[in-house]
Amino acid sequence: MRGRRGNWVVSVVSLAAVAVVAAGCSSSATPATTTTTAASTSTTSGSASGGGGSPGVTATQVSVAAISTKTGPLAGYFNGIGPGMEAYFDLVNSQGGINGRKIVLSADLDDGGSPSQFTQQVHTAIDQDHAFAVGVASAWFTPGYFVSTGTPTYGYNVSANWQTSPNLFAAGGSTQIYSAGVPTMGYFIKATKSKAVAFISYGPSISSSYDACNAYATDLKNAGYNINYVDVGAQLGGSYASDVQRMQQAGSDLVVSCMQSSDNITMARDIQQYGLNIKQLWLNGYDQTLLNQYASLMKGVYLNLTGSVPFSAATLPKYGNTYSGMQQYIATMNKYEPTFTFNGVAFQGWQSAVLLVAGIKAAGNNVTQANVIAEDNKISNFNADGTTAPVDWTSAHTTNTLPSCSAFVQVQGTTYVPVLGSGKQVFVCVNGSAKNPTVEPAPPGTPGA
Amino acid sequence: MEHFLGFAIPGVPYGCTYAIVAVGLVLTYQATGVFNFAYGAQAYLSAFLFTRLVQNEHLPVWLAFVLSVVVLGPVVGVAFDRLLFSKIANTNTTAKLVTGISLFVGIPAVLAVFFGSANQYNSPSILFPPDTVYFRVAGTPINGIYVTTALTTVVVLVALGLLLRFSNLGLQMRGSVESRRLIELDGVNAGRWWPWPGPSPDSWPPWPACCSPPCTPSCSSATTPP
Repeated sequence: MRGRRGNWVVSVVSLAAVAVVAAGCSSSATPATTTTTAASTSTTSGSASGGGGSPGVTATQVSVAAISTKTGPLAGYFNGIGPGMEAYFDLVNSQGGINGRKIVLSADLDDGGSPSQFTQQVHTAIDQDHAFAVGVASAWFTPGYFVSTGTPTYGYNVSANWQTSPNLFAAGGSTQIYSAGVPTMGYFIKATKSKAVAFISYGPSISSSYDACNAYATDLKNAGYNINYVDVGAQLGGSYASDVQRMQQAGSDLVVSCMQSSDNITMARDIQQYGLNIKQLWLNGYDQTLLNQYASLMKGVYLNLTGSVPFSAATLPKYGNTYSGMQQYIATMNKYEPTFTFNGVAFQGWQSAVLLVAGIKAAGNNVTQANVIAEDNKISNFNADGTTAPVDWTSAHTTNTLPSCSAFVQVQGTTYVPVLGSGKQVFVCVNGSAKNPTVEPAPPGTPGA
Repeated sequence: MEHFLGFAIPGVPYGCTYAIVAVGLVLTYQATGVFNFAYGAQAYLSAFLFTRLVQNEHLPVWLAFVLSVVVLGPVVGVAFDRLLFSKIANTNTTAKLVTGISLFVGIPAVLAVFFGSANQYNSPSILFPPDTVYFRVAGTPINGIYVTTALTTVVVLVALGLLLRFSNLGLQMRGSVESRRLIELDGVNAGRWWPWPGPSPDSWPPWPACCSPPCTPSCSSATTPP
């Protein structure tokens, strides 16, 4: 009898404990999100309710989430998107918010450099935290659930799969059509009077590196440029001494690198120590912290900032207040997120936040996901408050905005100095073919025009 | 030949690093029966803190090296040995594997929690600067990385050899590796000498990490040898 009563008590206590745990797990992690829609209560990845509601929106707040790689391999390269978004939100909120609502980054999630963890965090952001919109900077971005839930999604296009849907807004445009950038690359080669070009990138497993350099090398070669050394299988974190020697033997006078900045430094050291007289164009490495530590190795290196205004355009006396948008960015970041001021991905977070807020503002009192997406897609010359070349969001999900405007900088001392522009214009806007790239006037809405 | 040497010589720093790693791994496995999958993570821990102590806390390189390698290495080694490896030495293979892998994953993750996830650039060299070329061999510039790595490897391996061959402690270590049970029958406490700093297997990992610095200039878990 005593034993049966004891078992009965244990069973009841156990059931009660299970009930408490279940109740705790089902509650949202963000107390501010109280508005839910059918889309946001879906917990199965296969559901396609289409979104369009107002999850994360209350009378006083709009909740936004960010997902980035903050730990694990490649950590440190993507962790700026949350701070960049948050700084812009802080600026907007300090001015009263949008129609009485503050924009809040309620979750800044880490995918740990793992595809499965990224998927998990997507569901956390959308299903658990009921974010109205999400900012993403991850090599493991997959659009599926963002598209099926109709979640406005903004961020850094690393994975070349942002062009699949009108609710995906990658900073600078959602397409990753490398061939569109070939005329600009051709212009750079001619402008620097380079006669023999080398390309170096990681292998196909790191597609963001491989796809870019492989496309450039192939298209430029087809256009008649002398591409005399190509290594599109370099090792991440490896030694590049053999590549440098081969470039030396081939007689290359320009190397275009699609590697990460630390490996660019390793290559630069080898170039210097082997005595190779070669110009360098890096597609990654625009980082003042890096430059402060490696100024002697980075001397003369060019970087292509694609459509972004260089940070130095806001501070160099030559440009005065021409780039007031960039001045505002720097001042705001220094105030709210000073460790990320000159972080490239943080800057993309800023651009993403500007676009999101523009959509929320245009949606007025009817702040739904569908409305914000529609409003963003009406903007034909979005320049992120004067910090980027214009992006035509009426077509930027499927085509590049032409002409393609890029800002090139060169390391001079400890400063990234804009080069190849004209007067106070930092951008070079190129159209035409790879064989005959033509420089065109900057289109309306281009900062500095 | 010069052509061949030009491509072979840049592999020397990597070879030296893996030589030290191999010695430590074999010693650990032979002595404890546990294959330490967390070897690289332990090395990363010391290298990370070494870089951080120099750059963020502005300690002299020699002091940072002493703290992160000579002090931290054995402390971590003792902790792992006493708290983990010694307790699983006689358990099943799965337990040993999972323990090592857990540490391999957990150590970098814990560091990121305390210190953030930003990469550490410009890991300092403990001896010779990487940007200085000292001489050339077959056209290959021999900079501070080569000299530091090779010199450290030779010193460490020679010191270990002398210890094992000519010291009483080394004799006991060799005996314990050869047969722990037999040496215990002879009255030697095989578990006693493992906490000794320096060449004790569990304190070994920091040496290749901090003595073979910037083959790559950033200290991140992605560039730690496995």
